[in-house]
Amino acid sequence: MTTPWYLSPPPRPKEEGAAPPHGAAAPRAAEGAPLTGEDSPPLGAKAADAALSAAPELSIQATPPAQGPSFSGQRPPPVFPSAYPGHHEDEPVMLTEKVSVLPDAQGEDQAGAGTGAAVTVPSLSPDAPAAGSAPASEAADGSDRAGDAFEDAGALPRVEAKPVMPDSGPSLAVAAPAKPAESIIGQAEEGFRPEEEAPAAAQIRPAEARPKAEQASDPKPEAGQDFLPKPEAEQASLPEPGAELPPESAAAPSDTGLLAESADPLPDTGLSPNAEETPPLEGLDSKTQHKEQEQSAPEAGPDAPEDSGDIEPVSFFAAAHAEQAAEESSFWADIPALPDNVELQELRALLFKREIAILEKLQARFNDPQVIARKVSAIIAEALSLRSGIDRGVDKALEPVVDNIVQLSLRKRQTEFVNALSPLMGPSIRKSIAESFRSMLESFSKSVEMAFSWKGLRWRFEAMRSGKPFSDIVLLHTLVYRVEQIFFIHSETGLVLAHLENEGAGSQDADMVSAMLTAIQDFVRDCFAGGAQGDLESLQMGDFKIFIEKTPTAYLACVVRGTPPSGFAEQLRGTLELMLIEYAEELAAFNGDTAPFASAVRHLDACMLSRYAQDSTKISLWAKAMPALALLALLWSCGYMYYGHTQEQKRQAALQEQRQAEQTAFLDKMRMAVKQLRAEPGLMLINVQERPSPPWDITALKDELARSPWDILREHGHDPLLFTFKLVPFISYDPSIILRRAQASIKLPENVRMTLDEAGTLRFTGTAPMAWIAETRDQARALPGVKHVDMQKLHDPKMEEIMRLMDIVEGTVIEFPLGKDTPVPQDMEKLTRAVDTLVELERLAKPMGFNLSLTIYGHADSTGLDKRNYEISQARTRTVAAMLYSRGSSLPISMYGMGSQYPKGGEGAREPSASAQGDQANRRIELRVHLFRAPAADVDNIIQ
Amino acid sequence: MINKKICMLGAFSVGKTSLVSQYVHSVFSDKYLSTVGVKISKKMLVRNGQEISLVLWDMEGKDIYADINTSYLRGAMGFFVVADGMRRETLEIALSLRETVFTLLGPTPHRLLINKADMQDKWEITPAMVDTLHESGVPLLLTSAKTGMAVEEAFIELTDEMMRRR
Repeated sequence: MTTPWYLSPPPRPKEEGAAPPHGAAAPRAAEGAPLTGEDSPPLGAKAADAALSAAPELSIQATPPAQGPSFSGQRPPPVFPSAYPGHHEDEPVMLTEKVSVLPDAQGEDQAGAGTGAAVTVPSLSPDAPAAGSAPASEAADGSDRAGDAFEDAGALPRVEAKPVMPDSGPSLAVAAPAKPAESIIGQAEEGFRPEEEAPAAAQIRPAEARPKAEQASDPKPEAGQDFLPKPEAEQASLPEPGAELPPESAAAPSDTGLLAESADPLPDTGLSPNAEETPPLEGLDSKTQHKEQEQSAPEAGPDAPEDSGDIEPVSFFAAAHAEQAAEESSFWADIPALPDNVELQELRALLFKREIAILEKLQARFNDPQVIARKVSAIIAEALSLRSGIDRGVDKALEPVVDNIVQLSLRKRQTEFVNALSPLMGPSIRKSIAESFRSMLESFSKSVEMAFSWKGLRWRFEAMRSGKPFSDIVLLHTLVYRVEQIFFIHSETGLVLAHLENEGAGSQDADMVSAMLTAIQDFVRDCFAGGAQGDLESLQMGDFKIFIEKTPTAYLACVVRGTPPSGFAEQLRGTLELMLIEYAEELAAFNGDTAPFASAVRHLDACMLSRYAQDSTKISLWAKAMPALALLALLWSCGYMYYGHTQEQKRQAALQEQRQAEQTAFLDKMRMAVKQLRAEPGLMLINVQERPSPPWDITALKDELARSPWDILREHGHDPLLFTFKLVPFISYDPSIILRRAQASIKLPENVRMTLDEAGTLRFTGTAPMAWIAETRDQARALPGVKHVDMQKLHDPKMEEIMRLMDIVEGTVIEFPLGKDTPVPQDMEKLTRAVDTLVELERLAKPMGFNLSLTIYGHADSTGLDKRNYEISQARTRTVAAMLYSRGSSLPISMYGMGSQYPKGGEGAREPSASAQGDQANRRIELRVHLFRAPAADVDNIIQ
Repeated sequence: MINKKICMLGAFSVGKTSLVSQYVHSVFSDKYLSTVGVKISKKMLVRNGQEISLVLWDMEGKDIYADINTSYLRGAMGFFVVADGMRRETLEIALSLRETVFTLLGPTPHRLLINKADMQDKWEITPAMVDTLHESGVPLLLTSAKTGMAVEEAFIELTDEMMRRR
């Protein structure tokens, strides 16, 4: 149900109720008013009643009962919601809401709003009772505030009226407005009640209100001009509500009547000319009006402000209300009030039934936000452009709004904004940063130059501090950028196709670098990009930056020191594209052979750019001298530091050297010991486990006759604990060991020496008993490693003595006289000596294991008969034998008488000798000694 | 000059890095250092008068928590899958890696290296298994990064096969 706001009764009742500012009843009415006002005339009537009845009680806010059952609660909120949904019913609701707002906002703004409201009130006039009162309230607004409000609202016409109102207003309609005022207060105290109730009222109202409204309003327009004095109208209207509630209505009128009377003077005052409009205003007390305004303000801005009104008590909205209200008041300003005559009203209703209907419709349409929106949408663009052609009004108006929107939007959708902006701004930001950086660098270097050209000095200081070579620092400062290396890399395999680097760039192997670069890109993409498209575009470390221009087939990686110009990346890309075109086929067929790309170097060379900062300084003499002096000082301090540094270094080096030397010495010593061990015969080192520190483990073969390794170590002055040994026994054929073995098993007599030659011949020299020699020969031959035994140079001295003695014996020739068997006297002695020698011989030979035997040969000369000669020779042997035995010899003796067959001269001597001398020589005996070995057992016995 | 990209694949701690360092530097260290990501080495050799540069991508070992990073495999011209003779499961991983590479790159020259042959007495992979693999056409070698056994041969065989495929 759309009840045009101007037809809606709500304000009325309030005003009516509120109107009586003086009346004690007012307060109650006020309470009721908000409710009733919005609701409908009947309510208004009730309110009026309440006002009447309660008048005396003034402060009885509890009176609500008087206002009727529906309001008694005043707080019943439940209705509210239902009221809201109704599109058109919103209006009334809004009104109430505003009412609620007002209490909070008591400022002058509200007053303004109030005035606006007041103005609107008349529009409510349709509700007969309200209509009457409303004007009155407006009149009351005639007060200064009201005036202000009008001004604010820009309702100029009013302004004129106002001056009048103050005078006339107070008395006039006060009765009506007064109530609302109080009611407002009541509301203020009670909080939201009014609002809540309002909806209910609104719902109820339409039905009831209409007719009355029509009744009431009709008269107004008609009578408007005639019945300037609203009081009457009010009076008239009041009764109407009263009609519904007879008893109360009766009372109400009385009140109003009083008021009206008091108001009457106003019209008289001569304000009548304006009064057409003003009258209603005049009736209001400034106070009441103020309150009324508050009440009505809400009504005035039916649509928009509601919500905000509740939430923000802010002046902004109040001002908006005021404006609207003012507008509407200006709208109503020219519209005459309703006639107060009932008949006239009825007549009006009859006559203008159609117009009223049309008006209502129009109003409804006018109030329909959708319709308005449609209308406005059609022209808003033109309106804005039109306005902006005139002044900056639109801009100003929109500025805060746009600000808010942008801020909000930025907060909520940061990412989208960033994404949208970054491609646009990125390059320019980069460029400007690079630019500003460069200019900063320039200005910096300039200022450095300006200030006493400490530049060089500082660089040196920096060099010293950072430990970098001075040339590096200079490079760092003078080098804007330089391309150090550039790689042309096959994307898929990461193999380098072509590579170029600056001299001294000190790079790693290009193949490895490019593979690693590729791996890094894969790594970054896999780890951080989460499968997103895009590539790693650059890497940076310190002064170095690696630019990567990538395509799926191949890419360029460029190592740059410093800040390259902004167009550098483009140049890289250009080069890359050029190469991609040139090597398209080769790249497609790439299988590892880089030969086809050899010529790519020339493209790369084009990218090997660099730029040095210019260093054009003009330095004064002093400035020149300064750095030199400073340099001297610096050099001195550097030198000093360097000295300290080198000393330390030397110490370290010495320490290191010493350690190394110690280690070397240790190794040398150990190896020497090992060498000495190896040199030892009979000791065979199989394995030597070397270690940086003792002990070393040695595994060795050792002959039992070899010396113990520990002894050897000790002998060479080594600590035996430096080694651990694992010894395995074996038989060594080392000559010295063989000899040692021989020495161990053969007991050498004193005068015997034993040697071993390389051929393995064991040779004995010296003198030893024959028996020992015989025994040793066999023993020596059995020794391992001995191949031959040589004993030829081994002598037995006793044997030799025996031989000598034997020679003596055998050399003895004893001659006999002719025919005799006893030796010639001179040979007797010889014989004796021979016998003695034999005895000696026997004595010697016996202990050596030899036995002796003697053979005696007897000879005779050839004279005489052979037989005789034979006999005599035999006799001669017997003589000698007897002599031997007599001398104590036990030798076995064999005797042979040889006759004259063997003359001394040999075979030829057998012939009879030519001389006596010869005969004499043949009459002789000869001795032969035989030496032979005794049985072995005997020898053993003898030896042992 | 010919460049060849070769990937070393296999479970963790089978000796990929050791094989590479034995081949490239002739060095073996008992110390176990886990490779993170990928480590790149290079070895130059001459075959049939042709100078060849092998770029070896020694990739981190596969374990149960992480698959190998297949993007490192792109463009590989040959590969080794390495297993540890003393751990049978590494052979399974090696064979599955071999399949992975085949699905990514198609048939590619490769060798299965069963490493740690210097400790064959402790092997879980039995000679019978090796024979089976061999008969099923998996080109394999028993290597020892420690002693250098068959390491050089493995690389040379693979290089020759890659060169034949050109």
